[in-house]
Amino acid sequence: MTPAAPVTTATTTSTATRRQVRWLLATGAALLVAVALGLLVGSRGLSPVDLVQGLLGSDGSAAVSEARAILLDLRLPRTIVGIAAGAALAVAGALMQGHTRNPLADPGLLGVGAGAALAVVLAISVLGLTTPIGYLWFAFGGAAIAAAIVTAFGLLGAGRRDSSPATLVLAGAAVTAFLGAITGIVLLLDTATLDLYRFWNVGSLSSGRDLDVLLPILPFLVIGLIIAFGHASTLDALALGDDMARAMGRRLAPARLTGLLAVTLLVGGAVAASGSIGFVGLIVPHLVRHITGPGHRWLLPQCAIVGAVLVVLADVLGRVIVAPAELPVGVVLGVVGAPVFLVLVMRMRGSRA
Amino acid sequence: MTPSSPPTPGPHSTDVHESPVLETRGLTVQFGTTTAVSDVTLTVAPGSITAVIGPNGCGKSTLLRAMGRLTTPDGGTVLLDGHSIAKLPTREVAKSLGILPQSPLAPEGMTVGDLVSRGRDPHRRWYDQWSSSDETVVLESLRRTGMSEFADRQLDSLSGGQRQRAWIAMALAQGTDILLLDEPTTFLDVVHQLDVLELVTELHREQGITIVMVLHDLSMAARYADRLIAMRSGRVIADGHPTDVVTAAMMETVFELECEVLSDARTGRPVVVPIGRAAAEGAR
Amino acid sequence: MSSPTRPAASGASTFLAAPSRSLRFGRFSTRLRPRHLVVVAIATLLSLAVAVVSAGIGDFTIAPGRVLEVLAGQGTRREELVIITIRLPRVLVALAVGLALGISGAIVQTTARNALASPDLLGVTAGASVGAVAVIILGGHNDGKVSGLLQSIGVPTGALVGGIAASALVLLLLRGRATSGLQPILIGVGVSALLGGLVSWMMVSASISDAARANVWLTGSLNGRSWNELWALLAVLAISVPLLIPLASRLGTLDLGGDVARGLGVPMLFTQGALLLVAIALASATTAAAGPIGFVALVCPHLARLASAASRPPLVASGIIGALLVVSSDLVARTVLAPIQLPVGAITALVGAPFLLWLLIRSRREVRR
Repeated sequence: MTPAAPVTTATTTSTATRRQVRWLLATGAALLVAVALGLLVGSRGLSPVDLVQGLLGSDGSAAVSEARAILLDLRLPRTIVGIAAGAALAVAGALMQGHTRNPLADPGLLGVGAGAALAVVLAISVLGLTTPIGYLWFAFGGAAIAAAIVTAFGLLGAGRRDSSPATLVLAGAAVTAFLGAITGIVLLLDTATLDLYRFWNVGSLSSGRDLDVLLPILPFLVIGLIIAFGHASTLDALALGDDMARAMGRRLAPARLTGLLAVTLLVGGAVAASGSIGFVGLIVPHLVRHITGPGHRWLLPQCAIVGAVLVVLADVLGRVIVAPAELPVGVVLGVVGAPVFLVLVMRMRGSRA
Repeated sequence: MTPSSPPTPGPHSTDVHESPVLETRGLTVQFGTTTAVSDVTLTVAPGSITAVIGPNGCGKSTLLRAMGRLTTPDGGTVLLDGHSIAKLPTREVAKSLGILPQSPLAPEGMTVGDLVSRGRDPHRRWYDQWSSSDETVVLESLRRTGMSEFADRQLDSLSGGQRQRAWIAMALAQGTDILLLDEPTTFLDVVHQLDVLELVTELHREQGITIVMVLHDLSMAARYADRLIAMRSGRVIADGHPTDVVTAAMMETVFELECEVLSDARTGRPVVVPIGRAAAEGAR
Repeated sequence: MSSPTRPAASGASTFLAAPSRSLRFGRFSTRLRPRHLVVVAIATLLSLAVAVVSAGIGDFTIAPGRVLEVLAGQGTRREELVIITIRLPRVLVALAVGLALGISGAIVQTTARNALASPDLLGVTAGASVGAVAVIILGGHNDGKVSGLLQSIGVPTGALVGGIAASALVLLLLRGRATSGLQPILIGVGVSALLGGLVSWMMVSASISDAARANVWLTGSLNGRSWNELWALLAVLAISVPLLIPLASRLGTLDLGGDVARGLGVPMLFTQGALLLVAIALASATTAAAGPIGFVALVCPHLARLASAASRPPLVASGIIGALLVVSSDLVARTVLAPIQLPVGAITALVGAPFLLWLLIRSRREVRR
């Protein structure tokens, strides 16, 4: 082998880039398929023809109007919310895993849902709000605060050499239990609240969620995504350890705060829009890492796409399994996600835990 | 009521009791696809003091653990007085064979006295947790290891060397004829290494306990053991008296170490002075 | 605790000397640990005191002194109805639940050599939930008699079976791995999450009335606990405790780690298996009797260990402190927001969760090999 190093490196890099681009196209295509399924599948199945006609506009006939109604009022909003929530949660998960250097970090596992739930319950009970749009900002705030607390806890753990990933998970379990107990007590005192709350609680893309709920939140999600994508090279540096990152000239405190901000915006928005959906933030980054490798420049965008695909497909699955009833997305992901979590844990070497 | 002859820790050399023979035949241990110990056959002479040496990953700890029935072999057998150790009730084995694993961790808050009294377990029944003989043996074990004054101290408050002596006191209270020690001196500084090894050889001398220990330090092994077993990649490469085993040629084979072997004038045992990595074959 | 500066001889003699340190009777002997005994005595007295007070509090308040008289048979019919028929079983169930959970938690923490282990985190509670909810939702509708029978036998049996099955799954997944470290906890968390998802599935698919009844069970409450639940729980305790006596003597050795314990002749598989089985049975039985009550099994062993200044959580002290915790939490749950009765599980979570966080913060030395 002749020492033609520079040429070789450049070739390798562009090969790698081309590979990543091909993968992006693949996942993009998967997203389109998922969206199509999301729009077509359901208790009232639609055909592709209905889809096209529905999108193009009504021609006055009853069948087309009905299809259009289903499409535009039901399927399209929930699919869009699914895409937004999935993308946000997956990217937030990647951010948390990168910052805490903890392969088990997942916003859903970490008490965020419990924080949002408590805030919502307080909003309903104390302030008498009754619509998802009404307690939207409370959900956002509650999730954001809980996300901040647990991530901070995780960062405490990441700073110590003898820390363990499971500390974060256990902290999340403790926080969830604590907030859950308070929530439970409030619900007991105010049964009217229970009625409104239980529909909100399970991570679901239906039951009152539509674009009215998503649109106010959307700017926050978009800002969160932008910050996250811009944060990619910092995450790469952090992966090597705090000391190495400092040695490479990064300033830790601003980096941490930026990450925290992005996570808060993304998770708060997702939970406000769709309730508490677990495991997306945990599983998607691991899956995507198999494709993109650990480099965050490609990891984060792919996470967004794959996360969207996952949530939309889980929603479709929920519609199919117990048709004509529906399983909420949160439940589907819980039942499917937990085994994946278990596989991940079992593959971890004992010394890591 | 004290019995007429108080039970002493260690083997009962006053009676006709003979120390059992520990041997392995064709012992093989595998971890997944890696073979850690490969077809090792050896006999540990009663009353001897043996050291097992070798580079990292050569299987010496695995061999010791298999001999102490902590690891199940994938092939071959370990025999105690001719009986397969796997088939003997583990309690019975514990009365003859003691093993001190590598870097044992005692729980927070455990005192030296508590630890040493644990050594009496193989001799106790659940309803007889603290007989007078237990008490006597524990006190005696503490005395012989110089730990009497530390009996109420918590283990975590002791130095590394003192902690190790406490564990040895526990093994002593167990009253076995054979004692296996897995790297008893790792993580100890030089003075404490000497302390521990001196204690071990003293116990061997006074009570005839058969000792097999895995050691990292070649010179220490050569100084304190009567028999050295050198391993590499799961196989026994050399086996014999330290002066025969510790030669420059053997160190190169076993450790890929180029060294000079001097003789310690005080003990007559070899001392290894490392020079560097052995050059690759053919490059000399 | 003697100071380290004592002269040589007296160090050993304080360790063993005083006759009160051991109890010998013929071939039987045991070591006495004075501090442990003091803790047990105080905790027992406190538990009984709280129990008596709790039996007196309610819609119809009776002074503690009077409660004792009623128990001795000197009460009016009305007082006897209130105390003996209604409140006493509840208080006794609280004590029994706490006892069982405390013991179960102490066993699991010592056997797994893991300060953060608890039956809750090993999937027992989640499994019991699946079992109980499955019986409630899948088994029959609101027909009086059938559902009554199903309620009193079917639900606890479902919980018991579910709890045991879930822990079997966790132990299966753990096969061959170290039980110390946090990996087994994570496996427990994962299995619990999976089972929690199944519970959500069932809740969402069920009719509203079934879901409501399941929800009541899920909140871990002592409301309406009667003599039936008490006898069932006492039966499990009566079987488990004698089994524990010989096994418990091995716990101190297990605490030294698998290698050392094996070296000392402890049959590891049998001993650990038997101990865990007892722990799981106790935890499942309590979940069957009173629904999932969290954190007691995690917290009480630590409190017992700290109070007795021991190196591992003593079984008896953990049990009694558990009884004290549950009966006190129940008293708080019943009275703090009267007339609304909070579930006791909520109070134990409010106390236990911060405690767990505190444990995690100082967990540097806790997790050991």
